[in-house]
Amino acid sequence: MIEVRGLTKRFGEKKALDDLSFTVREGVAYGFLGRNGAGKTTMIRILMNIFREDSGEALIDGAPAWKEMRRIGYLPEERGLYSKRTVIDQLIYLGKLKGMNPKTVDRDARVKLAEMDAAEYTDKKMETLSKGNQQKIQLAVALLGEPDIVILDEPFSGLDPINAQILKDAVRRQVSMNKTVIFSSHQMGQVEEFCDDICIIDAGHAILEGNLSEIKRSYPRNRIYIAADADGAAGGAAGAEKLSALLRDLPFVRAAEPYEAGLAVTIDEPGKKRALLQAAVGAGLSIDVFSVIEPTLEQIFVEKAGHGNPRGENK
Amino acid sequence: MKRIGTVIRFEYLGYVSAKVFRVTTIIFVAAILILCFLPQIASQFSKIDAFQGEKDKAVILLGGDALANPIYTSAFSAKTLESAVKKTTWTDGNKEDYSEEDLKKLIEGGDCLFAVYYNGGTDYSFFAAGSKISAYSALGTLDALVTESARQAAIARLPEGQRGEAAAISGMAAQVNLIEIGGNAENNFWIGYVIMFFLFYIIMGYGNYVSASVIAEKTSKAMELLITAAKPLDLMIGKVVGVGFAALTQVAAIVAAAAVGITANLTQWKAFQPTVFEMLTGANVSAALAALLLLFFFLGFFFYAFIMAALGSTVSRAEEAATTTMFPLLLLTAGLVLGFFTLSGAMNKALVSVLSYVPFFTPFVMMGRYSMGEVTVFGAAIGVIVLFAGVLVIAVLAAKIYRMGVMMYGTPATFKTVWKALIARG
Repeated sequence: MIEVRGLTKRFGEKKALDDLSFTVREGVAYGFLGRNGAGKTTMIRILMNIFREDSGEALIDGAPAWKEMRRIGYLPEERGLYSKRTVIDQLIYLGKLKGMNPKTVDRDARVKLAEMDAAEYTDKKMETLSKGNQQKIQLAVALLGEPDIVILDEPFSGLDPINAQILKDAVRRQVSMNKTVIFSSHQMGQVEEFCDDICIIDAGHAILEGNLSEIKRSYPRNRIYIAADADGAAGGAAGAEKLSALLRDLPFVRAAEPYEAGLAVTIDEPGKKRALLQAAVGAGLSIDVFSVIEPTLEQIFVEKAGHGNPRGENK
Repeated sequence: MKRIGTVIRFEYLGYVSAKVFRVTTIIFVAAILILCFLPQIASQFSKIDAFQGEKDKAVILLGGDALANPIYTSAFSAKTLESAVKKTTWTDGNKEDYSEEDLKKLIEGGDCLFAVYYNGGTDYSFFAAGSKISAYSALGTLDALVTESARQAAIARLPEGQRGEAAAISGMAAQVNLIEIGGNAENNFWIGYVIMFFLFYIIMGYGNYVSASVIAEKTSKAMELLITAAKPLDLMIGKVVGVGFAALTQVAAIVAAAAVGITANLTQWKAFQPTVFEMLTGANVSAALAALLLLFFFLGFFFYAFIMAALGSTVSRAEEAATTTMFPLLLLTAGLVLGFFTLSGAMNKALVSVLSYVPFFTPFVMMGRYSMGEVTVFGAAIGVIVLFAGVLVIAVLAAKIYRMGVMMYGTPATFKTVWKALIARG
């Protein structure tokens, strides 16, 4: 378990982290979200013992994080390796520095390259690889030595869809192996795809933290997706028309708008769901879909971090 | 320690496998071999000269008592002169046959390089083609010949019974038996001189490489991964020692080439340049001196290389490094100059003593003092301890700057940020 308690970090007059606290449970994929300059990379660099905190602490299983560095695989935001050295030389070098067995590091490095679909670049110099392939090599470095904790800072930036998919598969493997994966990004779709828990930070302070499903469930469940059928064709135009006409007469309906194959209906309160369903069925509509629409992570993020928040940008 | 070993190996292999290292080593080795084979090369050129018959021409005209004295006529015969003043073909003649004007015309016309107008005794005129330096080199030999001939003639004029004593007096010279105990300051001077130069160039070249290598790690963004995998101090020590070993490899290649070259040309060097031969082979370097010179060499390298690594970490571009590393390189140059002054004995001894315990100058000044026998082994050992302590302090301070500097991109470090890094914990 990773615990961050009251971390504060200043760069001159600028407060990059402001009493930041959060907890990462063991074996979960954790999304660390924030706008550009919110303090994500600073937080990660403190966790990786690159920066020193001004106050507060970062603990891994109760011990200071800097004492547990060998348990962490790290893909930094600022990526790069030695351009003139071969891929395998660099993996072996970094593997040895991470404390891997010198006798097996060569074999392990080759396995990791194969997992990243990069075996063909083993003896190539880094400078000859494309940016995407270099990024795959970097992820192979991060995963070398089978670390318990994997920290990925903006892992998908600058990747084409095929390489992004390879990286996603690699991350999924880590999650399925019950590793703790901390995922820093502002690409909400990818975080939503992988992460169980999230923390949104703004101006160096956590403004929302917890289990993503619970967070979503905590939002008012008064937005309903209804797809109905009036003439035998599910979600057909006649069904939508009849439903629209019905909704106009219901006093607890605040708004209705086209949504996927039907309508998104906003009602006064979640408790009116049953009344809405009964009204639709009573009007002779055959209901194909009736479900609560949960907010997307992007909507939650924009709501929490994208408004005229007084903390706003911190850089 | 294990990590430092890993970094040393990586840095060493990276450097020695680089094209620039291989090319410069080959050039250095080739240059040193050419230098070692210089006597043979020079003798080949002499043969070519001889074959082409490009001997200087000279005229000697005897007059006065020379004509009547067999000693002079024998000494100034063309045969004697050709063996004494080599590469010269002599023509002799009677002074009465030529005027001084005639000789000047001969030289101006290029018919001969120089001429001697002998008046008798030790009096002679030497006419030289002023624009040619080889004319003057003959003058010294001729001078000795004239003096000796005059002395012989004078002795010949003495009564028979006095000649032996006179000859003994004229040939009298001091008989010195030089017994050197504990090394030879003259040879040590050269050894000190050569090692100081070596140290200076090694620090200049490889120190700059250390600095450039740190900048390359920053610009390639490899640094963030590196400092999460190993301590900055380990990384820095590994880099400096790795590069130091690479420097040592190059120096070893050069020294080996020199050893092979000199061994293969010992006889030629002895004949070609006796002084240089003596310098190359006659140095009586004691084990203590060799150990101290090596210690100063390595500690001096590490002292400056750590500074260069730390300063390299404070900038993000190679072109900025020149400004940052200018200060230590100025100190390095000052150290070299002070070292030379120490060797030549041109500096105030009290000042030299003080400077020899200032770590920036210790490698050079203490090396100079010890080479010249101006400090005891104990004093030199104190110098080693001071320098070693200096290396440790600089390594710790440099690691702090390095840790801060390597994560700074874009803006170069200011004095304030460097100071903050130095006083930071850990």
